Amino acid sequence: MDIEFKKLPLILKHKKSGITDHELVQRCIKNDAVAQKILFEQYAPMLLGVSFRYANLEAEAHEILQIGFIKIFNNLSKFRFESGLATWLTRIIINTALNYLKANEKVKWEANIETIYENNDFVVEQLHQIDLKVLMDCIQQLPTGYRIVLNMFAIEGYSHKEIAEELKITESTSRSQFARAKVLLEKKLLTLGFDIKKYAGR
Amino acid sequence: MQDDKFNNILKDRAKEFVLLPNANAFDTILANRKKAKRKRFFVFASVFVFLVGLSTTIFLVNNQNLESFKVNQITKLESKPNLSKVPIISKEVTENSDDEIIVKKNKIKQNGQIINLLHNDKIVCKISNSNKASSNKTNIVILDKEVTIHKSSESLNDFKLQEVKNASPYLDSFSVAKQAIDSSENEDSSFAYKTIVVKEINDSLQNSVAAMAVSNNQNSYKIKEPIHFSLSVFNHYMLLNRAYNGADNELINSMFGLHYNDQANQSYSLGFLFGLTHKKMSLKFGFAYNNVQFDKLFIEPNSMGLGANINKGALINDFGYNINVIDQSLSFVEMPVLLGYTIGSKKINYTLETGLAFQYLTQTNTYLLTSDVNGYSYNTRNDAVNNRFNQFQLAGQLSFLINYNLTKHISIYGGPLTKFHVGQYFKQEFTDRNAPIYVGLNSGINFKF
Repeated sequence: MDIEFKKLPLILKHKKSGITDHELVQRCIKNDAVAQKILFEQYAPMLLGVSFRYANLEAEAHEILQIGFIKIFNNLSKFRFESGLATWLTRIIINTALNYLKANEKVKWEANIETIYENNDFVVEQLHQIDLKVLMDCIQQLPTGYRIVLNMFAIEGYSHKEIAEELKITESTSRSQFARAKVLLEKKLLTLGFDIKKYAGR
Repeated sequence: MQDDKFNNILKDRAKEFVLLPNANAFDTILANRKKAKRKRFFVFASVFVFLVGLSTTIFLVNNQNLESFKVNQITKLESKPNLSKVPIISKEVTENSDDEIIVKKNKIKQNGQIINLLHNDKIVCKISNSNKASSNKTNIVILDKEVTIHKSSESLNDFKLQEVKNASPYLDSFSVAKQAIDSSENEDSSFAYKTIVVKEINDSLQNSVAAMAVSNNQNSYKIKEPIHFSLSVFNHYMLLNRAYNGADNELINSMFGLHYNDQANQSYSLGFLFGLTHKKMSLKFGFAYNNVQFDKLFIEPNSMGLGANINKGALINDFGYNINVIDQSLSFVEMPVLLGYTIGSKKINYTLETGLAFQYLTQTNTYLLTSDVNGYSYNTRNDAVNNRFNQFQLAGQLSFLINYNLTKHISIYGGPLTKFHVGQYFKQEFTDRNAPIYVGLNSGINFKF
């Protein structure tokens, strides 16, 4: 999965700099501080968006980004260009975020007191209409287990099997976490007054 | 289907989501990376030191045969070699009828063809005479003063023993061989000689080595050199330091020049060392807890008017004549690696020890006690100063120890010690290069295995 960056203004800057990813990586490996800064400026906003979705708080997201970038700079020599640079960087940030969450809190995978119900009328299309920051805030406010699975399954495109292997849980746990995450996300949006139906067509 | 739609929309929205990192995020990353590198270096250094110690231990345990001694067997020498350059200190031994051969301070008693040689360590060796029946001469070069050679069943026709005192540095195998020939009165080339060169070995083992080599008819012989393992528990008590508290450099310079009194501090180190001793050399490594207290630095007014120093770290107030105090303590865990050289007798000996200590700063507490003209005093924690110190430090150490052996296995020691920081005491961004130098007492107890 390669992410499209055309929408990001910083990518334009990247194009302006006239440096290819390959050249950028090579220079970063040689500890070229200028290249490292270019790499950071190009990808940090996108990667901070990723870490924000996994973190409990925005401050944690910044911390994850910093830890992740240290790993990135330390391990750039291992990047073989078999995938896109952005994909590789995103993967490192996700792993960093998962490790961070594992290290800093006990992630609960069991069902909690939330009532599980299927809302087939969930107007998913209307998600387009919701303010992006609000949507991301709502995702961030989900319980950690829900949030991780939602991010990995819905956004990153992992299968439940891959998630189960990555998080050392069962596939059924992953499925149930995702189902609960979806329901809870809808409830949160409604609680905040974002009646999805209300926003339909805006 | 519903899931797919949900996922796709969420994925699309997430792609759009970007956040700007903090303005100083990149600098922080670089700084943390540097810090992580230093940490890795410290960890690697510690692991390296540990592995060196461990591998040295394993090596010494498994290869105690460190010393190799040449034994030259020369038969049928055609002519008498030129001996002009060979230092010879020899003493011919006469035969008598006693049951044993004793070499003790140049005295010898001998009887029998097969000789059992005993020494302090009760090493028993057999020395056979030359294979040449016509000569039956055996020359043993012994560098020690005291050897006991016990009897054998058959008489020794002609036994010659040379004692070469302090000659080992000048000798090689051939010269000793020549020496043996020269000292023999019979120049008949059919005589067989066996000579031994014993170079630079412990006093207690010299004779044994010589005897064992001859006995086994070997051209080289390896002995087991004693390796001692030790565990020391030590305490460093610092009597004096050139104190430095990390406050503003300019101010400190003025403090050192004019305005401060340094009270005796209460700095100390407590720790243990695991040691390996081989001959006179020792290698020690271990762990220690190090607490450095710059007990009190009194900043006093002087004629130059300290009032001018106001706002320099808030050490000195407006009026310049109040006494201000810096109360500071630093805690380190450290990993010393020390190399020592010991001389002296068995009861009392002296060690010169030097090495490095890898230090990790665990705690910094700096408090400024200030008072105003009304007599009110303030005690404030100064994190600006606390944060100046490098987390990882490298300190050098030099000490002279006097060891007193209480028993064969336990000794106590004490002596002067100096420690000094050789690495960067303050973080790189600070221009200060001053670092404390400590002078104190080193004492401890050593258990030898």
